[in-house]
Amino acid sequence: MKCRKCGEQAVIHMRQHKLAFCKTHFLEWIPQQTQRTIERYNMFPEDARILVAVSGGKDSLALWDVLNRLGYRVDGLFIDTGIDSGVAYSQRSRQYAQEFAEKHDFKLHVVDIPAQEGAPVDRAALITRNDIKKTCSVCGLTKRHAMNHIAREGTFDVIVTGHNLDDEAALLFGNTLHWQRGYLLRQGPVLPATSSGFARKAKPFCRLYERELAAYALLRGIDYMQDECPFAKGATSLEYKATLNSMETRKPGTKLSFYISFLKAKQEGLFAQSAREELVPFTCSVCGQPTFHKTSCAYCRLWEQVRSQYAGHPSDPVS
Amino acid sequence: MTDSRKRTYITTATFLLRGEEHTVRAGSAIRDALFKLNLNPDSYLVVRGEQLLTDDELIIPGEQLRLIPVVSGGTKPA
Repeated sequence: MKCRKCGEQAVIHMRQHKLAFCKTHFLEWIPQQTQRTIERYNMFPEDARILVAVSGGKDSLALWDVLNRLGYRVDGLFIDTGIDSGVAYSQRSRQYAQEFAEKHDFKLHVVDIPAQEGAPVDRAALITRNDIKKTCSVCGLTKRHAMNHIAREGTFDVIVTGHNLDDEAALLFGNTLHWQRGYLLRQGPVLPATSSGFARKAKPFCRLYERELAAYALLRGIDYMQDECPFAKGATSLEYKATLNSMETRKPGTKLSFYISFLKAKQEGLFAQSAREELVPFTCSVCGQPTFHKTSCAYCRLWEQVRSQYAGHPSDPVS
Repeated sequence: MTDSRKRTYITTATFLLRGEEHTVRAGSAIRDALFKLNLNPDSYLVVRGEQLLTDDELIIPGEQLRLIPVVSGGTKPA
């Protein structure tokens, strides 16, 4: 197969676009597409101060690389959740993020949850939910809070994440399957900042396939964490991704069309806000972040419970 | 007098995925070989040495191609 632009040997074929590129032209195409997405959804201006949430995986490191190539001012944020599970998962992920930052002379901010809150997130799940399988929800809550905390300090205009089209399509699939109207209402390339204190968030890779980003990382020589989080095993989102990929193989473009059609339908008013969703949040009495709970936010309540019930060392792994 | 020398032909190649070798038929397209292993071509990158390949490439007898899974993520849909 030949490159559409120069006729050289192609390294990737994107069936949904009927497009094949050589290494050189593919590595030009990804930043071009990212920039188009940033502009299409008015994600942030050229001079924005950007914080990219990095996990050590291919998508977030590729995003950091692409935004830098596009000339944006971007710092990284790694949230160390302290997950060990016998494979030093968080420690190794952090290492990938740190090595990438050092190699490119980028600034990486690190939030160390066990050091800050007294326990890793899987321990917190065990204590507060009585179920280590609830680690994903505790992890999500913790990461959202940490991101918002940094954004509220005022140094950054927007937080960007490496969510790709496959992530978004799988999320949409799950939300549709269960008619999660509130989540469907919020899902999109941009979450605007609110006066009550929620930070602006954007997903510049939301129209790029996961496969394209893995190819980009490989061709750019980005060394990334290939192992999945031990708690991701059997995750529903992975099942949804497999289902969507199976449909994509039979009909290229299915995932893209699913997501783009959803955004269009939403823009045309398919989902309306309910009175509950229009509620003005309270302010957390502990951390000051917005919350729909009258006293303290879910994050502060959860970690308060952990601190009151756990007397071990913060970095003790959960066996 | 008969020629006792026997010619041997390599008709297979291997895919290396997460440290495991999978035997595939040489001469077939990568995409077809992936299907035969029940692997979705949209979920893997295929690498020959340092070279990323498109899935219409034909598999060379005796070679070993590396499969890189592209699917990641495990957060619960919300």
